[in-house]
Amino acid sequence: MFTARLMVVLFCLCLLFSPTLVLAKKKIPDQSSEGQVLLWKFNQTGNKALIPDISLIGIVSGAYFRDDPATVQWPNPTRTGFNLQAAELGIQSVVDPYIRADVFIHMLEDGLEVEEAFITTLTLPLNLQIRAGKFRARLGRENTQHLDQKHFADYSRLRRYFLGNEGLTDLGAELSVLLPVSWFSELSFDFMQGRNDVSFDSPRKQDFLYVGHWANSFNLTTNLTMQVGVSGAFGNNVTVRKLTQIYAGDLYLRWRPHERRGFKWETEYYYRSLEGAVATAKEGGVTTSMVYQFARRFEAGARFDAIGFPEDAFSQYQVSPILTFVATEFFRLRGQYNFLHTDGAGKKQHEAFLQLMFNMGPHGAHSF
Amino acid sequence: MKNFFVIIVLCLFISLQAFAGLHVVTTTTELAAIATEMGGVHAEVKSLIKGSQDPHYIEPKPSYASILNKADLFIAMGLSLEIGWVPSLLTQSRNAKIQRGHEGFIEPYQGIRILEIPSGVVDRSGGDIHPEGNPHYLMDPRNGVIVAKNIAQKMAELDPAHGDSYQKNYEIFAETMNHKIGEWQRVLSKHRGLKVVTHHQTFSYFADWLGVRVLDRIENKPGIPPSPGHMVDLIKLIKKESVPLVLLENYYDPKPSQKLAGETGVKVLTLPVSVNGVETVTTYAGLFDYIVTQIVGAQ
Ligand SMILES: [Zn+2]
Repeated sequence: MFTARLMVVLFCLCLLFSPTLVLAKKKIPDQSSEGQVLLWKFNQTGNKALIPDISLIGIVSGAYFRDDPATVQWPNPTRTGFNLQAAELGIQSVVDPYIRADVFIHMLEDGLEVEEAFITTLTLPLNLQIRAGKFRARLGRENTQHLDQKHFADYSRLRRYFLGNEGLTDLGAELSVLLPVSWFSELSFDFMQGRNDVSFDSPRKQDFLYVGHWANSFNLTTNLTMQVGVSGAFGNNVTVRKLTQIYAGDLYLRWRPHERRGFKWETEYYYRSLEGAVATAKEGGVTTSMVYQFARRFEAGARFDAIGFPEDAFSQYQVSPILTFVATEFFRLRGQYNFLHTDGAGKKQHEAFLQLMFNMGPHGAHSF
Repeated sequence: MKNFFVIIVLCLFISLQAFAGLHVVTTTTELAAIATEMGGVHAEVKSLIKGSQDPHYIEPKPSYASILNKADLFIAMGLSLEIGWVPSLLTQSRNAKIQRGHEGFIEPYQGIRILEIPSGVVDRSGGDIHPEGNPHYLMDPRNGVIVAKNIAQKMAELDPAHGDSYQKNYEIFAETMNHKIGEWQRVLSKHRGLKVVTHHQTFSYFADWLGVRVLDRIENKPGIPPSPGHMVDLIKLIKKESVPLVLLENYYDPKPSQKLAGETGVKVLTLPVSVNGVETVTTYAGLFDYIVTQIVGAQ
């Protein structure tokens, strides 16, 4: 087993260096009829040249909780009053002809945390791509999304229950390939350290985490796009030599006839089997959300999260309507209400958030 | 497992493309129209977005990455027009040839005089500005000829075997365009100094070419709907200067212009600003035929 893993890593390394050889053979033509310089080869202007794109996203919210959460649930709002959900510094740039780098740093009220820091290859042959560093595992869709990409003030209960408040983000390497078919079809394999407080927190150093995802996208009509994905994550949990498996299915429908109308429907299901010392806990849950943009600057929507299909020891559901005012691409205000019901918790939880988000600088778009 | 390999092999066969020439992908339809004329039979050209879409705010679809994956040449307008959606697509495309700085990537505005380059402090208090100057340079057909030349040269560089053909296509295009440009100028010469209000900065190059005077814009801060105060100013301006026309790019919200029309009686001319922006406009020259005819007809 270990030899097999070693082979994979070596294979990846070989691939990483192969484009250099491929490219060295191609000569860059210096055609310059009428003595013109081919500007597009060097079209960065003046002092902007060579400085990476630097951006900062700030997310601040005012929150009301009927009962303040017992534990910190950052980056979700976590207490009644003011919450700094994110001050995310993004540093992004193409590094050289072969790779680009993306670094996202969370500036917390009392420290810094590297949220993501990875390189992505640009020129591998055979439609392959490697990411390496710290990044969000491709398990479903929501786990790959930053808070600023979401249409809600917090992450779903599904993601929070199975992957923790900060989701499944880890050090590792990823090999992905775009399949040569007529639609968009991408297979990815993440090979990661295996450090997640909720599902993959093995104390043994040789226990790594493996995540596979297959994403597909179809244009049903010119304005309607569908994405379907299946994924799985396999690793060891806190009980020595015991396995956690998470299987996820994601479905995303997007209708966008023009800039002033749009509709999104995102659904995700997780199934987790977590071996313990004596028994295996089998649990599942779902999150589904619909968001309708009814004017250039307004969107309304709702999300429904439920945990307990199948049920083990925990059952919960939440309903969350939202209303968002998108002043510009760079500033928005959002109101959200959560009604949370947890079996056996006695009282029902009410939560309300008013969230503002601002974006300075050119924050590169994340994945689809 | 054996079946799986059979499927993969089948997929590989399906994806082998019958067309052997240059695969060209552009962001906008104007670029596609020009590239089609330059490429002739030796290139297959696809535009990522439709003529009825606002190129500033495109939400990338995964299918765009698939299209870019097979491109030999990618042509973008540049000047930050597509900054919000092209960079991530290039990464997703996994296509080494068309990455920025590689030989299959071109922003063909070299040789064009760029208008409205901001000076002083450049921040977003002025809205979602074009920090490198106005990117709507193809709204002046003389710039279209320059762009055509840059594209034809690029095609010749990538496919030297058909270099003469691209050069010839350019010469034919330039001759036709120059003839038409003369005609459009003649037709609109009696409208020199025509006062207009436009929605966005899309018409700056067009106005510069024909001596049309853009007195103000509805979107005085790009990307931000006009404030009530600005609408009041516009109404005053239209009345005071007896502005006869509001030019509205057809992918923008018609409500503010309709309001101006209701208050002042100004005529609103909704115009395509892209090839395929309306069904009848299918070529780059056709775009100006349409716009010029509409403006003349509106007088
Ligand atoms: Zn513009």
